[in-house]
Formats: sequence, C-alpha cells, structure tokens
Amino acid sequence: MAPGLKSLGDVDTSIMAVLADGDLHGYAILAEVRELSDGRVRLGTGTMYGSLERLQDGGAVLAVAEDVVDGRTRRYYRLTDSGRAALVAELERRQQLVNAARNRLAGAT
Amino acid sequence: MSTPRRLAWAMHAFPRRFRAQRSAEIEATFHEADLAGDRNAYGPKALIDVVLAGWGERTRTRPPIGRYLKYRLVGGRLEPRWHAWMFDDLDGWFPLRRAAWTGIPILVIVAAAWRASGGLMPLPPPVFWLVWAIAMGLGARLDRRRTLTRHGYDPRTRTWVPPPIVVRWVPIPRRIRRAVPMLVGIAAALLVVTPFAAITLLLPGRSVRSVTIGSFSFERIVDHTVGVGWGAVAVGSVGLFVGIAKHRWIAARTLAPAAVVDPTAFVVVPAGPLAWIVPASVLVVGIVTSLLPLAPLVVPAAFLAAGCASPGLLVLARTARELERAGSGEVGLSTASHTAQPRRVPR
Repeated sequence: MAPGLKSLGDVDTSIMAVLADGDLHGYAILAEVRELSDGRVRLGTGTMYGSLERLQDGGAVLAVAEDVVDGRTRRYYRLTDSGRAALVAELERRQQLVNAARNRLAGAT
Repeated sequence: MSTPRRLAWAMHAFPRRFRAQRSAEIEATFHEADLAGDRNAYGPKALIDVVLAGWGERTRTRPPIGRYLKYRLVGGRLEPRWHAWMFDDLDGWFPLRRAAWTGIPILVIVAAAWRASGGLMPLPPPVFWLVWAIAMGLGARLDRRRTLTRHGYDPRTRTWVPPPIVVRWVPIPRRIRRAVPMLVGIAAALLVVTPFAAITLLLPGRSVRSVTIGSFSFERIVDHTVGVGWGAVAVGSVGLFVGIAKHRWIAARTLAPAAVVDPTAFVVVPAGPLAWIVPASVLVVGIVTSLLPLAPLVVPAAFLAAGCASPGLLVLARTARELERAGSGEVGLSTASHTAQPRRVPR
C-alpha cells in the first residue's frame, strides 16, 4: 500500500488499473475506465478528480506533464512504483475474496 | 445560466486550493466529453457528481474536529499537514466565519447574563450587533496575520520561515521586541462590554436614598433593576478573562523545554507576570467597586470609560506594530502591550 493511502476503493482501483500501462490525461482516464469495464462503469468527472487528488496525496499517482490542446489544459498522470505495488496488493486481496466466494459457491452446490 | 457557468458554480464545492490547481483541467475534461458526443456531459448528474466530490474533498482535507475547535476557538496551532487547509480558511469568507465563531460565545454570555438578571437586563439592540460586526471585520485582518505568524509563516509572503529556537526566560533587548496584540484582545472584550454598560447607565429605575449605619450616614444609589449592574461586571470579567486566558494559554503552549541556548534566529519569551496582574486587578477592582455605595453607577461607568479607550488601544497596538515593522524608533509605544502572548523575535 502506498504510504499515504489507507484503502483503495473501486474508483481508485479502476483509475490505477488504467494508468498501469501508461500515462493518461483526465478525459482519457474516463474513457479507458469505461472501456475496461465494457461500458458498465461511467466515472463522474468530479469523482475521478477527487480520487486522483487522494491518490496523488497518497503518493500512488504523479502528475508528470501538462500541455494545452486546442486551448484546453491537459495534465498527464502516472502510476508510481508504490502505487503499482498498492494496486498489485489490492488486486490480490480481491482475487482472494473472489476465490473464497467461488469455493463457497462450489461447496454449496 | 450557461453550462460553463453552472460547472464553475458546482466547482465551488471543492476547496479553494483545489480549484486553483485544477479548475482549468476539469473544465477541459468536461469540454472534451462534450465534444466526444456525451450528451450528458454537463447534465445535472455530472454537476451533482462534481458537488459531491467537492464536499468529499473538503471533508477529507479538513482537520479533525478536536484540532479544528482548538484552532478556531483558542487559536491552537495546526500540524503542517493541515496548513493548506488553513491557507484556504484564512482567505475568502474568513471574517464571516470568525465572526460566527466569536458570536456563539457572546450569545451564550448574553443569554446567561440576561437569565441571571431575571429577564431585567435589556438585550443588545441591533446597533450593538452592527458595532460587533465591524469590530469582527477589523479583528479578522489582525487575526489572519497572527495565525500565519503563529504557524511559522511570513504574513505578507506566506512563505515558511525556519522554526524558532525556543529559550525560556531570556531577556530580550527592548528595541527588538515586537508589538503583541494583547491590547487588541482587551479592546475587543471592552467593545463587547461597553454597550451593556451604556445601557445599564441609561436605565430608568434608580433613586438616591439616604442610608444611616450607626453614626455614619451617606447617600446611596438604589438600583431597582437588580442584577443589571452585576450583569455588566459578569460580562466584562468573563470577556476579559476569556481573552487573556486565551493569550496565556497560547503562550504556554508555544513554549518548549530549553534544549538549545543559541539565540541566533528567534526567541520565544513566555508571558510575564503582568499577564496575571491585569486580569487579577480587573477582578479586584470590579469586586471592590461593586461593594461601594455608588456601585451600581460606578461599575458600568468604569466599563464605559474603559470601553471608550478601546479604539485608542487598537490604534496604539497598530501603530506600535507598524513602527517595529519599519524598523525605526524605540518601541516605547508597544511596551505596555508586552504583557502576555508569546513573542517571536528575530535577532
């Protein structure tokens, strides 16, 4: 877990997951999260920036570059090493939960 | 309201510092979503999401309730992690927030005094609250500077200055003392008390009666509005004590054990004995005068006279500060104000 992060919610995990393979700006993060979930998850812009701020404070995400495209400000975000480790730990935790649930389901049938 | 304006309005839910850093970026993201064909890019749901996220961010970044109350009510210091929040707090509606927080104790005192007088004490007229609001507005500016200084920032540039080396009981050259706004605290307390004193003086229901005790006879003013004079004393004493205790408390909290005796950068000097002499004198004088034959008249008159001096005290403290900031002249004017409050002295 990144030093300043107490826990990771679904939104945090989704954002970190789409940042895992490269730097992205705000709108690209929204689009990637939607794509990652086959259109089921539509992050609100406010929610995403709130989460990004929290992740930045916790040291999991870093703003690495800023540019202006057609007069619009874009800031690019990157997953830090500690953020990557936190994501891996969170995914393992969820995987364990899924496995445990599957085992119980299998036992019940 | 146009969509960008609606968005700008919704983004006020976020803290000021957040908006300063991210508003252009968030607007651009909304715009990109709109350009990409999202018909609900600026829809109510998206704007509500911004508001909720803003409130969440405010909640996340504000100090815990205990530290918040200490900071707000008695001027306690916040840890560095809350300093960004503090900067936001000191801007914008700070005078109003401060006035509200100061108003609550005043309301409690007024209500208690009114109840103690059995409902005889008149409640403050609207003009009192007007005067109070103006005093709060003026006080907010001073308080902003003091808050920044107390947290180790230069009030003008808001840059952090190195932490002071703390030394106990080190006498400091008079010329480098900085004015301490204890006078401001006293003046503020008196400003609160004065209207009550004035009202008490102007109340009808007094009469002069000849009193004879043994062979001794004197004229005594009899106050039929029992409790009104004592109300003024109570309010005055409480106001002064709260103000001075607050200064004293901060001074005590600012001190640390003298580990390093190397006064190269700053010296923090604890409050001197005068910090206790002032409130103790006020109390003694209050009790003594209330026992005098003319007490119902003397006590409010004393407070009224002192209250009239409070604007002068404010000007005095301000002038002293300006003199010292300019680095000119001996600080004789501010000597009287060096009674309580920690003093951070650049050497």
